[in-house]
Amino acid sequence: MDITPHYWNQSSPPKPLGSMHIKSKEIFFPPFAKESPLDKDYVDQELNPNGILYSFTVIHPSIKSGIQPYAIGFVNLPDFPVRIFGRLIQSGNPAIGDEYLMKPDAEFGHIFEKISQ
Amino acid sequence: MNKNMIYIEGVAMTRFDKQPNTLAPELAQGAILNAVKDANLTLNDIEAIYCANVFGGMILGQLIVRDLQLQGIPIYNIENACASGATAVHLAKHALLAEQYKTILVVGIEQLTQLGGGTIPLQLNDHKTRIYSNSGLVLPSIYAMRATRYLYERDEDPSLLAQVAVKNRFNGSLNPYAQQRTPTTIEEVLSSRMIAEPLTLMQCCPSQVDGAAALILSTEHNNGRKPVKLLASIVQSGKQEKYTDDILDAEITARAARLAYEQAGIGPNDIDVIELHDAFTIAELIYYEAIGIAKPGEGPELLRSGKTGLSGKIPVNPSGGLLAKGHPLGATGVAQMVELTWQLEGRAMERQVNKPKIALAQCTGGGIAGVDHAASSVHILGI
Repeated sequence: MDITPHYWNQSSPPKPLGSMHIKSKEIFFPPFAKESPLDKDYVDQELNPNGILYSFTVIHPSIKSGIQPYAIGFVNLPDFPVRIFGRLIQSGNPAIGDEYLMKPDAEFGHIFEKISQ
Repeated sequence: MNKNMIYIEGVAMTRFDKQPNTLAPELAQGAILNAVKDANLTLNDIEAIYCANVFGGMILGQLIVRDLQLQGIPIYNIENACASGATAVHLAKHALLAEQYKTILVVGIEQLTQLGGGTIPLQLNDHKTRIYSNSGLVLPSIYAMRATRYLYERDEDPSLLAQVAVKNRFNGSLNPYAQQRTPTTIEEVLSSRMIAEPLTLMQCCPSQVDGAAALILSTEHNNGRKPVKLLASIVQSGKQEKYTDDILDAEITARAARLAYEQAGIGPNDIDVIELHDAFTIAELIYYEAIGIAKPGEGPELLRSGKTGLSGKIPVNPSGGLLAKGHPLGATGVAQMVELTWQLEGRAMERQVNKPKIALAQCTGGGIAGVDHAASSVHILGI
């Protein structure tokens, strides 16, 4: 059974969700589970999925694994400020400062797709 | 005798190496018996045992000492990821200061060959770590992202990182307890297999290693050598990361170091030799600044100056560090203090640094998303 909290709302296109602390207004990702005793201190907050790449790496699995190299990184979503980790999708190499769009993904839950300039 | 003073009376360790056919008792008992002998004690003098381990399963300490004919003394099993060994020393210190015991044996052990290779698995006990792990978060990737940001902000290239591996592999070549005993070059480091850009294989500590280390802590000094004193012992936990956090800051380690300096009544300029947690090359550069031996932004220059080399002003990782000596998790923090005790006592053979008086051990434990590190420990030893 998947017990991971859902972190996409029902809008079209879906927007990622975080939790906002009611007093401090700080944003956290992923949103707190409804079963959490901390949940009463937070409200769901829709996040702007546009972000800036803070840092990244390209993982090179061993050849015998058969898995191709893939990029992962931390992306800062500045509107409701929060830093989120995830897969990076782009042609070519990532670069710090690149703009990415956070999107739902069936395999990874979410990905960051580079926004073409 | 100062009753608030704690002495490191005896130390020992096994060679860190692949030992897949050796079980935990055989591996750890050698370190235990040699540490007791080094302290000029017998097993009957030990009043409690603190056993540090991560992946060995429950009641490992009792299993290790079952056949040593001890008379039912307390055995505590301690896990705090890669900082388990340092945490065991820290807890033993508390018990000694509380006068629960006069003499304690701390043993750290890990058998990573039993895991079958690859990166150390994250524990998926919370939603954030599960989500991030599903996207590919592993410990090397966290350090690699630090390295990417470090090179970007400092306008450096990957050869800087490789210099850390070259330095520590040279030190390891002089250490009979080290897993990697072959010196290397910047070219070899950079051309080794890419793991997580910009970190190549030779910039990552070996993931297949077994080993044990032990030390005797006591409030009484009787080993016949000049006393090695535990001047400070700090363990801190990571704070929840914020949007504005600087991943190059190593806040938890800077905090642990600051508290350790306060406890010892000294500053970073007083340190003569250091063993720090170079699980990946970038870590050593970041920790130079976190523990205060380099000012912010001056880590690269400190490395390039040669001051952290074996014959430098402040040698770092004379044992070869985690990169060359190896990193059997539960044993690492104890082994760092074994090495520093040998250095302070002038018993480090070919890798002996120049007459150190004050030594610092720094060890972190990671493995969950959303914090800098789960744990960080700093110990200061003096002679």
